[in-house]
Amino acid sequence: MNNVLMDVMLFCWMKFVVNGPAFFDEGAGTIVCRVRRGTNLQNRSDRNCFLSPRRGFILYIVVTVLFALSILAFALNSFKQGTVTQLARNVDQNRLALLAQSANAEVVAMIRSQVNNDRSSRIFSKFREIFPGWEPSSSLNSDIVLFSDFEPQQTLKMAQSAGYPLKIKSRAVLRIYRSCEYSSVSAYNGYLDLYSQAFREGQKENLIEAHERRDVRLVDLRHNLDKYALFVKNYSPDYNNSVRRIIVEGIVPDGPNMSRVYLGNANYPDCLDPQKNIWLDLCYNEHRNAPGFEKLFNFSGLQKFPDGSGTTSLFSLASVPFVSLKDSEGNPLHESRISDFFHVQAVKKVYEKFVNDAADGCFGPGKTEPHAVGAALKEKCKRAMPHSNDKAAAYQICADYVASSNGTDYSGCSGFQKILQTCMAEWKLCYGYLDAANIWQVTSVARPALPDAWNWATALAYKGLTELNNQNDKKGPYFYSYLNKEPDKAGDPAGKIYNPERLRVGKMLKLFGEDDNTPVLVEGPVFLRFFKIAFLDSFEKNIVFFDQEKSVIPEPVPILFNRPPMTPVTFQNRLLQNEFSPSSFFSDRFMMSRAIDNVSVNALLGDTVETYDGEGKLVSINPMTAAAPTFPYPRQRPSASPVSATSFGRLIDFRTVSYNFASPKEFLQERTAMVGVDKTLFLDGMMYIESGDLDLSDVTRFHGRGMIYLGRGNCRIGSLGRARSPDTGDSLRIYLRQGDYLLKQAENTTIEASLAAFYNPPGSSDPTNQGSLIFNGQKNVVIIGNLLVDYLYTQDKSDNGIASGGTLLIRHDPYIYEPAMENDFGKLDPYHISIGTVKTSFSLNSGGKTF
Amino acid sequence: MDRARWLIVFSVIISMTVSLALLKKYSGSNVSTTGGQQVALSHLDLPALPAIDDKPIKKRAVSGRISFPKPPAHIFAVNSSADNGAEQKAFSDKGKISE
Repeated sequence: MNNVLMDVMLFCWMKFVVNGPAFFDEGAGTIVCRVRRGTNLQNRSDRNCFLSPRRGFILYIVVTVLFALSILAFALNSFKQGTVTQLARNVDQNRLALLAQSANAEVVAMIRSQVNNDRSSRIFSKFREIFPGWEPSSSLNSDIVLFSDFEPQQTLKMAQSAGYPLKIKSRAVLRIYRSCEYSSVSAYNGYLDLYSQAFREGQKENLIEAHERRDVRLVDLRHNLDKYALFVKNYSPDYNNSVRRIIVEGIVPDGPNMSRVYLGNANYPDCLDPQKNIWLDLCYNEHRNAPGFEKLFNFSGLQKFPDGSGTTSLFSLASVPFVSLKDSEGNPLHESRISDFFHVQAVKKVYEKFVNDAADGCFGPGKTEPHAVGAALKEKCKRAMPHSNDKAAAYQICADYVASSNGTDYSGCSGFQKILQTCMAEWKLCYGYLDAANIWQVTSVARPALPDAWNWATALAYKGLTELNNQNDKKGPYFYSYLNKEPDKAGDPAGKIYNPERLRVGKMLKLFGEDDNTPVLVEGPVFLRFFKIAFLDSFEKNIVFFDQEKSVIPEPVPILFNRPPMTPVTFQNRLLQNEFSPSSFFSDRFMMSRAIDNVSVNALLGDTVETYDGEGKLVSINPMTAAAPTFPYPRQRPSASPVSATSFGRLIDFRTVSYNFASPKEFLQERTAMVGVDKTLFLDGMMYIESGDLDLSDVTRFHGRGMIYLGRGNCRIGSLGRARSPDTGDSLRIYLRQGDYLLKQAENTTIEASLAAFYNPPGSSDPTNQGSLIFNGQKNVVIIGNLLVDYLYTQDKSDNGIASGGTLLIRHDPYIYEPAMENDFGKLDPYHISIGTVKTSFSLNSGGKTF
Repeated sequence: MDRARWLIVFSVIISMTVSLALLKKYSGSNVSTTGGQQVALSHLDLPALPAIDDKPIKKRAVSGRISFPKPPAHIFAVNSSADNGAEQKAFSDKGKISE
C-alpha cells in the first residue's frame, strides 16, 4: 500500500516537474493568455486574461509545498521506521516487565491472603511444614515449592482488558533457613522467592522474567504462659480482699486441659515467719459445691455448736472427752500434763469462788467481804479463819489456800487440784471448722485495718481467735500472735513483726469463676485456709469439797490461739496424738482454736485431676492426698530441676520479629486505621516496639493475630476487642518488658487480649520495676484473655486500685489458652506467617528464564 | 473567491489529513496507556474492610464443642539462664534496652 502510494505520487511529481504550471492548465482546461511584458490590461477580460496564469502559479506553489511535505513525511516515515519499531519493542518490554511485576505483586497478595486465613489452601499447608508435628514436614534449608506455572488471574485480566494478548505465569519457592535458638519459642526465618514470566502469545522469545525476594517470619504463637489465666510472680496481698474481688474464670475443663493460676511469693515482706506463703481463705458460699469440699470436711450440712448459740456456720462439728486426749507420746493429758492447765481461768474462778465462799462462811452469818483473788484472797482468808472452828470445812479450805497459794498460782492447793481433776474428768472438747467470713466482718473493713469479729464469735466459748484483752493488745489472739515481734524460741532473731500477711483474712479470690463452675489448677506456695473454733464445754457436777458437797459449774473454756511453733509449749499449742480432723485429707492435732493453713488449695478440685506434667505426659494426681502445695513451681521442663517463677517470661528473638518500630508513635501510624467509628489495630505476627509509652486507649478493635512486644514503656489501654469473630483465630497478646498497664479511666473496661508485664527476667525487687496493672479507680474490669504480671494490687492507698465494690474478672480465653483448639468451625491455627512488606532483592531478566 | 480556490484549499486540507492519518497508522505505535489500566482496575476485587463483630465481648462464647490437642514440646520448655543471657545481650545490641 505504501509503495503504491509512493509510485502514484512519484508519477504525479515527475509530470508536474516536466509540465510546470501547464500541468494545472491541462488539468483545469484553463485558457492561458500570453501577454508581452509592459502591456496594459484595459478591461476585465484583459485582467482575467492576466490573472489566470498567476492563479495557476500560486496553485503550483501550494501543490509544490504539499508535495514537498509529502516527500518529507514519507522520508521521515521510512527513516524512523526502525526507530519506531525499536521503541515499540522497548515499550512492549516495559509493559511485559510491568505486568511481570504486577504478577509478583498479585502472587504476594494471594499468598498473604491465604497463608493465615485459608486453611484449605496449599499455601497454608506448605508454609507450616517446617513446624514440628506437621505432616508432611520439611527441613531447614530446603526449597519448598509453593507452586509453578501459576497464572495470576487478575494480572491477566488486566492485560486482556488493555488489549494485550499476553501469557503470564508465576512460581513461588519458600526457603526456611533459621529457627529460633530459644527452646521456649517456636519461630523461624525464611524467604520467599517469586518469579513471574510475561510474554506475548506466539512470541515466547520476547520474554521478561521478574524475580523478587521477601522475608518471611513464621511463628508459633503458643507459649507456656498461655496456659495461665493468672500468673503473678511476686507476693501480692489482695487475694483475700472481699471488697475488691479478683475473679478468675478458667476455660471449661476438658480432660487434662484446665486453666492454671500461678501465685508467687517473690519479694515477700521481710518478717520472722519462716513460712512465706500465700493463704487463700475458703468461703463456704462459694466453695460448697467444689468437688473436694465435701470430702475435706466429711460434710453433710451446716451445723452450729450444741448449746444453741452462735450461727449455723460450721462445716464440721465434733466433741471429744478431755480424758481421751493424749500427748504426742501417748500419755493422757489429765495425768501427765496437769500443770499445763493450772492457769485455766475457768478452773481458777471456780476455786476462787469456793475459797471466797469459805472465807465468808468463816466470818459467820451476815458478814461477808467482797470477792477477792490471789494475795487479797489470802488476806481475806487470814482475817476469816480466826472466826471459825478449825475442824470446819470452810476453815480447812481457807487454810489450804493460805498455806499453798502463791499469788494467783493455786497449783499447790489441794482444793484447786480437786476442782481441776473434776473438770478434766467432765470436760468435753468441742470444736468446729468454719471460714473466715463467718468469724470476722471481712466485707466491711477498710484495709489495712483489722476486721471486727461477728457478735456470736465474741461469746465466751467462741473467743478462741477473737478475745480482746490487754495481753493481746486488744487485737485478739490470732492477729496478735502474728503481729508481735516475739520469736518462736527465746534467743531467735527478733525485731521484726512475725508475719502481718497472715492477718489478711477474707474471702479468697474467686478461682472457679463467677458461677463457681470453672475450676483452675493453682501453682505456687499457695494454701487453703479455714479456721477451727474450740472450747472446753461447761458442765455441772456435784463434788465433795472438804466434806462439803459443792456444785461445780465452770464456765466454758475458749482455747485461745497460740502460734504453733511458739515455745514454751502450752496446752493450746501442744501437739497431741489425737487427730481432730473429720477426714484424712488434713491433719489437726492441736486442741486450740486455730487456722488450718496447710491444705493445698487444689484440694477443692477433689481427688482426681488429670493434667500434663512438665514433660508433656498425661498424669493423674490426687491433690487431696498429695503433699501441699501441689505444685510449688510453675510447670516446666525439665521438671526434675525446676527453676523459680521469676525466670519465667517470654523471650523475644529479634530476627523472628516481623516488624520493628522505634517508637509507639510509628507503630500506631502504621498499624492502626479507622474502620467505621472504630480505631482498629491491624496485627501481623510479632511486632516489636523499642521504647516509649504505648497509648492504645482510643483503639477499640483489633484485626489479625499477633503480639505487641514493648521493650520499655507503659501501655495505656481501654476497652478493646476483636473486630471479627474469635473463630477466625484473631488474637492479641501484649507483652511489656519494662512497664505497667494503665487503664483508661472509665466505669467499666473490657479488654479482649492477653496482657503480660514481666520486668525482664529474673525480675526485680525494686517496687518501681515491677510490671503491674494500674486500675485508676475502675469499678469493673474484665480481661478476656489472661493476665501475667509481676505484681497485682487491687486496693492501693492511692486511687490506683479498683473502686470499692469493684471486681477484676479474668476470663481465660480458650483461643489464648490453646490457639490450636478445635471447635465446630474446625481446627484453629496456632501459627502466624508474616510476609515482608519490602523486597529484599529484585531483578528483571529479559529473554532468559529460570523455570 | 471563486470555486477553484476553495477547491485548492479543501484539497490541501484533505491531503494533509490523509497524510497525517497514514503517518499515524504506519508509525507502529498502538499503546493506549491510561485507558487499559483504568478498565482493568475497575475489574479488580479490592479487599473489603474488616467486619466489626458487634456482639458484645462479654456475651461471646465458644461455640459448641471444643477440644484441645496435646501441647507441643516447646510449650513446657522454660527459659534457661543461657537463654535469658542471650536475650539480654540481644537487647543491648539491638533492642537498645539499658538496664
